[in-house]
Amino acid sequence: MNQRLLCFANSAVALSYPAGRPAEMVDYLFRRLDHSSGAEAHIELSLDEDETHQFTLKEGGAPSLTTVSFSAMAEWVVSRVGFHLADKSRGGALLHAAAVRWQDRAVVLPGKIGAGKTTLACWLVAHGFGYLSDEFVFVQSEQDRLSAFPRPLNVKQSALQVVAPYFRTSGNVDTVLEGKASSLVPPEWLSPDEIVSRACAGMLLFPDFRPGSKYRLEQLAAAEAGLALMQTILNLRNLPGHGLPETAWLVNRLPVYRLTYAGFDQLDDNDFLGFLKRSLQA
Amino acid sequence: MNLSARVRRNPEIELEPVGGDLLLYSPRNEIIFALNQSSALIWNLCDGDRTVAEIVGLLCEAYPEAAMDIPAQVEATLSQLAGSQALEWIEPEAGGTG
Repeated sequence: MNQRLLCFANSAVALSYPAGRPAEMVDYLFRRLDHSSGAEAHIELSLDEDETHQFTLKEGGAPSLTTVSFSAMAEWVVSRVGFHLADKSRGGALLHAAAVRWQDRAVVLPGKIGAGKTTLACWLVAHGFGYLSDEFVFVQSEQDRLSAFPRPLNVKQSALQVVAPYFRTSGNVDTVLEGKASSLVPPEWLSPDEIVSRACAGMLLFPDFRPGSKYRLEQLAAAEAGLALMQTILNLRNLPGHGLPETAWLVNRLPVYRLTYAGFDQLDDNDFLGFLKRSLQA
Repeated sequence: MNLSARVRRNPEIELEPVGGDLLLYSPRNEIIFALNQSSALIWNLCDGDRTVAEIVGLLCEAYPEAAMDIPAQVEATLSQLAGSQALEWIEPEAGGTG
């Protein structure tokens, strides 16, 4: 039986699994994660496959999902690991956010489910930005540097056809795991660049994809930015002052924008890439 | 709105300045508020001693160019924050002037 300690955001989860397809799954999902950390696991998950090829994930000893679908279990495992890491994360703001980097400076894309974080992150990676994460970004208290959770991108089926034209279809080691509602896309399918998980925080950008809308890029006022950011901090209840000081520190330090758009053509037409690169280099 | 009413800040509310604005958080209701500079000024004037009329008067004196808009803005801000229990209306004492 193998065991991997998955560490992120001052939190850790122990995941045990046998050789074979469970090991393939764990490697597919977590091999880009930096395992170095002083955190102790606060929960143990176990992934197993029985003789009927049925996968089972147990959390703290209790089964949470049983399925014969490799892709469904993979999506469930990465989701549950993320949940447990977030549950005990402290010492900084854990954002529900995608993130990409230009050189060493990160564009953090916070937002709720459906805001378009992953889709925009896909497009940016395909246009030369480095992939950091599509789901979690952690900013240690009062530090400029952030760490990201570099899992395969979870792309909703409705967005898959939009980003598929940007996929690199040759030389890939991992496959895209297609599920019913979404697919897991290895970041290497978008860019051959090395995946790193740390960068200097450069900007907060709230994506707001709205079909039929006009392109709009606006810098948010401090309070509006803070309000929007707090709604994306997953570990607020674990932070001093309910996360208000963390939020204020980030908003006071980083430029915060909201991007409203209806398609990638608008981003091209309005030199959105140029704006990001100039802003990050300033 | 009763211009002779007094209103005070809910002591449970936690706040943090951001830029020139304010972020407020209600631990009981788990509600977050964002106050721009104008609303933050109104919030800071709600000390439980001033009446609504006095708050309006102070702001009109400080910002005469905006005097036409201040009463409505004060009413809107106080209503919103009181409705979310970030502010508390103070009942006049029996036999007092209110």
